[in-house]
Amino acid sequence: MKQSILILILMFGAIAYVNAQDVNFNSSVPETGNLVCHIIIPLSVSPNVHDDFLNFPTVPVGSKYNLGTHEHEDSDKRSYFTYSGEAGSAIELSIEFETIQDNVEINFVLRGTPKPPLGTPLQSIPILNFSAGKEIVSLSTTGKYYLHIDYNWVWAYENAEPGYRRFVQKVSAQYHNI
Amino acid sequence: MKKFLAIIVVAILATSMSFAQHNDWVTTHANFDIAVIQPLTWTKTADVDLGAVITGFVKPIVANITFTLQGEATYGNLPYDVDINGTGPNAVDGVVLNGAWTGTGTVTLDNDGKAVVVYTTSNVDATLATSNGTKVFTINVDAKYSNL
Repeated sequence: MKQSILILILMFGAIAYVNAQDVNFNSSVPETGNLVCHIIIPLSVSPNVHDDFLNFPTVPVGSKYNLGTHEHEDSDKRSYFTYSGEAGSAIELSIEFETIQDNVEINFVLRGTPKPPLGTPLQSIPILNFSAGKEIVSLSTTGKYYLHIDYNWVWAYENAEPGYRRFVQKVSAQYHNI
Repeated sequence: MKKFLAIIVVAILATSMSFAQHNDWVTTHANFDIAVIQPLTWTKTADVDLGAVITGFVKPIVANITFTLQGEATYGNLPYDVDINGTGPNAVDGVVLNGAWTGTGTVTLDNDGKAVVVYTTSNVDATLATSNGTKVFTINVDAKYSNL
């Protein structure tokens, strides 16, 4: 008799346990996926126009005027641009040259560095050759890149017309591969 | 007399046979069929890195995450239907990932018991981004057998 009661108790317990599982025979099966993107700050350049040659050279027709004793090694005539963007990103620089107008020619060299130029000897800053019309450089860990246009000389050839000349160098930049 | 006895014996036998067939067992069957089928499971392609997007801009990006659902192929000759729901992604810090789901809704599993769901991005809109940095967009799918 006791055995039967024990068996009955065990049976009721098992049934209650199974019911307690609340088994949903067709519950929804979930899955997730992630897509990641990296939001970066816009690229900017300062100044937009470098226009501060207060003492632009005056060159007699038929003569060449060197802007530094050793041309681009120590020229004091330069345009200087600071690019700011996402740290460590690669940027692409391209330039549209303007070097000759009315038999007046200028010569310059482009240099660039991600390091602050203060205290940096000019000749230690790498020269950019813009092969294929563009140059890919990296911003520094602080998101900076410094571009120089160092003017070497101006040559007013024999048949140059006297007058004021403005040579415009247009440098464009954008993030590389974005 | 012999004839009479013979008639009596035949009558008794006929009566006893009649009683024997009167209460035979009558049987019938009820069938209780259960189709035990495999549960639905998902596999998916790897998470996607959409690259860099500049604050203030909308960048067109086409990328896919593909979810493959595996279930029971057929019940007899009948294929199974599943209900598939795709949700997300929500905007993250003002950055909106736009895209579209394909393969969701009520879908019939193919001959191998599979269904494919794809989320395809179209662009990332960082026009109203409130911060820079890495943004993770989560998309969700869930599925269950229809009409079970």
